[in-house]
Amino acid sequence: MKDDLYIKQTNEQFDAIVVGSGISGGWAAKEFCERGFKTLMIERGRIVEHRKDYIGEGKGPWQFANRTKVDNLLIEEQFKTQKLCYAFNDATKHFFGNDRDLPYSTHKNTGFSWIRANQLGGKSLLWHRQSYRFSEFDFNANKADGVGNDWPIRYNDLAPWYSHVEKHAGISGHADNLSQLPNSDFLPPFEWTGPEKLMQERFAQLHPDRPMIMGRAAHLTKPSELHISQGRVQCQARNECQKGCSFGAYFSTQSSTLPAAAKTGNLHIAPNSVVESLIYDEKTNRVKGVRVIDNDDLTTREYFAKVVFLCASTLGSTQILLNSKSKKFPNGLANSSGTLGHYLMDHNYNAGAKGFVEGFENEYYSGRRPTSPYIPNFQYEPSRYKKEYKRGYALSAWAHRENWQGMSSQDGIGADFKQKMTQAGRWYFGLSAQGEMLPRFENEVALHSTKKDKWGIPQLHINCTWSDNEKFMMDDAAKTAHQMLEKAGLKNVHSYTSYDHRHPGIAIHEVGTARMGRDPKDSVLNGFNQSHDIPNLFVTDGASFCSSAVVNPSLTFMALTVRAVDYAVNELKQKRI
Amino acid sequence: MSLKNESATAELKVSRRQFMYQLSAVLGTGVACQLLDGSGFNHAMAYQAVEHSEKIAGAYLNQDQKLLLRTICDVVLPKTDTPSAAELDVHGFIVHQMQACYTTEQRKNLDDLLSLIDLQTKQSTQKPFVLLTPEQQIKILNNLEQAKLPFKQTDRDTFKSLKQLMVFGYFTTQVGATQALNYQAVPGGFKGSIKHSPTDKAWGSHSYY
Ligand SMILES: Cc1cc2nc3c(=O)[nH]c(=O)nc-3n(C[C@H](O)[C@H](O)[C@H](O)COP(=O)(O)OP(=O)(O)OC[C@H]3O[C@@H](n4cnc5c(N)ncnc54)[C@H](O)[C@@H]3O)c2cc1C
Repeated sequence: MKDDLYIKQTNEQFDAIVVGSGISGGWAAKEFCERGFKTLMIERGRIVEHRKDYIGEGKGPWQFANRTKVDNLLIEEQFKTQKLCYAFNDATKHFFGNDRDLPYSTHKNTGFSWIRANQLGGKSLLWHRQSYRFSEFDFNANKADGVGNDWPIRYNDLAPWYSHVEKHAGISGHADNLSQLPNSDFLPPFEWTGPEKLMQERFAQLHPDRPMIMGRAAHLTKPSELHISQGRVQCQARNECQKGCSFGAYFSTQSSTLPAAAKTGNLHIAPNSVVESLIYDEKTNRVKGVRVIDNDDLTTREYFAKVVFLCASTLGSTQILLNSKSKKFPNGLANSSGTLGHYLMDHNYNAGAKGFVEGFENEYYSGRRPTSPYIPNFQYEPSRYKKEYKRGYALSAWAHRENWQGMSSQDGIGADFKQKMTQAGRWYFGLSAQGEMLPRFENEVALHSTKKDKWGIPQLHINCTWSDNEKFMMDDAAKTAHQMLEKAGLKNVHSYTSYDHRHPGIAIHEVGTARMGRDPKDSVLNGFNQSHDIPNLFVTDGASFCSSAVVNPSLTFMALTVRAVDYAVNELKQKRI
Repeated sequence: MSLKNESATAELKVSRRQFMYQLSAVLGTGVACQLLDGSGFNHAMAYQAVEHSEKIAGAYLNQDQKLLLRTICDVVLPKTDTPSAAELDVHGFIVHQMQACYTTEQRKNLDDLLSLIDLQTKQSTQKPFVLLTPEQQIKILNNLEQAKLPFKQTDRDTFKSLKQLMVFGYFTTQVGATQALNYQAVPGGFKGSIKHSPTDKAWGSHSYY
C-alpha cells in the first residue's frame, strides 16, 4: 500500500467521496477506483490493518484475562448494548462500537439494540458471512400484498451485479435451483453432518415445499486465482472469524475490497473523520462535499468531490442526511418526501425449537463449520401466507454433539462426571426462525431534540416496535418448528419465542429509513440509489431498502452499491451530474 | 481407524499441503508457519494459575472458604489420567472470575453456599468438610445436588452454577482444552462425518465463549 493512502488535510477535489468503509463503502471505493476515479473513503473510526490488528486471533481461551468473557465493569460502563450481540467477547470487543461514546436514545417503552462497528472495515469484520440473493418474490412483495411502496427494481436488474460481487467476494454454496432463493456464482458448499442429512431427507418427505439446503457463506472453500491474487487463502474452518482472519478466508473490506481499491493508486482514506453533515449548494442543487469532525481532537475539516456516496450503514447514513439541513431542506437533506427516517426495519430472530437426534454415536465432525443448514422462506408469495399474518420466515438449522458446556449442568460428582465432560454427548438439532419485518411508517429514527454526542452531533432517537404481524409470525414459527422436529422423530423437543424481551436491532440487519421508490413524493432514492432531489448524492447501504425480505441483507448491499457506481460513473461521464 | 477415516485424514493432509503452499505464496513461508502454529500472534495478560492460591488473601472469600472451594473442585473433578481441578488452580480462577464477570448477588450466593456447606458438615460430622474422607465428601455434595435435606432447591441451583463455572474453568485452561480434550487450533477444513468411538475425546474448547 502506498504511504499516502491515509490523509488528513487536503484541498483536492476528488471524483468521488465514499462515506463509510464497511461492506457497502468498501465496494463503492473499489468500483470507483477501478474505473479510474480518484476516490476518498471517509471513515469515522480508527485504522484497522489486515492481520496486524487482529489482536484476538489465534489465541486459546486460556490466553484471555477472563477466558474470553468480558469484565462486568467494562460492560456496564462501555458496552451495555453491544454485549447483547452473540459475537461480543474479549477476543472481539475492540471491533464493537463503544456505547458510552456513541449514545442514542429510544422512545418510551420501546427498545432498539443498535450494534455498531466504527472502524476501518465497519461490520464487515464482524459479520456472520451468510450471503443470499433476494428473489423476484422479494422485490415483488410490497406490490403483491400492498404493504410498503413498490421496489423500483426487479431481480433481473440486480442479477448481473450479484454475479459481479460474488466472483470477487467468494460465496460458498450449492446450486439448489430454487425460485425463492436464486443461485449465486458459487464456490463449493460446506459438508453436511450425518444427522443433518437425515433431517434433510425427512423434511423432503414430510414438507416438500421446505427444502433444507447448506447455508451460503462468504468463505473461500476453494479460492480461485482471483482470490489468491487478493492475498486470500482457503478457509480452515476455525469459525473464529470475528476475531479477524489473517488467511483472508472470509470476505471483509480488509481482505477483499480494500486491497483491490488500493492497488489502483486511486484510493485515499481519511480515517478518524466523523462526517457531521453534507455541504450542499442550493444554487447548483449539488452536494459539494462533507463536513468532518476529527474523531480524536474534535477539530473540523472539509472534503470535496463531484459525487458523494453515503455508505455509513443504514442508521449512520440517515443520521448524516437528517443532520444536513438547508433552507430548501429544513427536515434533512434529500427529504422533500418527508419519508427520511421512516420505515425502519430489522429481521425478527425470535423463535425456534430444538430436540435430540437418536443414534449416530459413532459419527462426529472435524473442524468448526462457519455456516449451517438453512430452510429458505416458504411463504414467499401471498398464496402461501398464513391467515394470521403476512410474509414469512426462513429457518436456520444446526446440529451438534453436546459438549461440556451443555453437559456441565447435568448431575454428577467425581471421576465419572469428569470423564463424561470430555466426551462427545448426544446429537441435538435445532431450527431458529428468521422472520421478515414489515415496513411501517411509525417505525422511525429521528434526531433527538436536545441530546448531542461528544462531537456535538445530535443523537439518534429511535422509535421502533414489533407489530402484531411480527409477533404472530414468531408464534407460528415456534409452533411450526416444533411440529417439524417432532414429526421428523426428534426427542425432547422444546420451542420458544423471545420477541417479548428481544427488541428490534439485534438481528443486526437494520434496513429502511431512506427508501427507494419510483415516486419522489413517497421515497428518498430512485431505482439507482440516487437521491430524487439531489442528483450527485447516492445512498447505497441498507437505508435504501423498501422491504426487509427474509434473507441476510449484505450481499444485496454489495450488489446495489456496484450497480449504483456503474450508473453514477456513466452519469458523470455524460456530465449529467 | 476405519477406511473412511483414513481417506478423510489423507484428504485433509493434501489440503493442508495445498493450503501451506497458498499461504506461503501470499505471505512468505516464515509468516505462514508462524500463523499456523500460533506463535505469530501476540498474547494478552490472562489469569495465571498460582500454586495454593487459596492461601492468598483477597477481596472475595476468606482463606477457609477458599480451601473449602479448592476441596470441592477436587471432589467434583478429581485427578484421573488428567490433573484434578485443584491442580489446575480452578478454584483460584473461580475466585478471579466471580469478581470480574459476576454480579454482587451471585458472589453472595456462592459465599453463602460455602458457609452453608461448612456449617452443615460440622453439624452432621463434627468435622470440617476438608478433613472428611472422599466418600463422605461425595455424599454431602450429592445430597446438595439432589436438594436433600437440609439443602434446599436454591442451594442446589447455586451449586449447579458453581459446577458450571468449575467445568468452564477446567476446560478453558490449556491443559483442559488441549490434553483432556482434543484441541484444533487450525482444523484445516470441515469434514461433516468422521468415525468416532464413544470413548474418544471430544473436540477441545472453542476459542471464545
Ligand atoms: C455479529 C454480526 C453478524 C452479522 N451477520 C450477517 C450475515 O450473516 N449476513 C449479512 O448479510 N449480514 C450480517 N450482519 C450485518 C452486516 O454486518 C451489515 O449488514 C453490513 O456490515 C452493513 O454494511 P455497511 O457498509 O452498510 O455498514 P457497516 O459495515 O456498519 O459500515 C459502516 C461504516 O461507516 C462508518 N460510519 C458511520 N457513520 C459515519 C460518519 N458519520 N462518518 C464517517 N463514517 C461513518 C462506520 O464507522 C463503519 O465503518 C452481521 C452483523 C454483525 C455485527
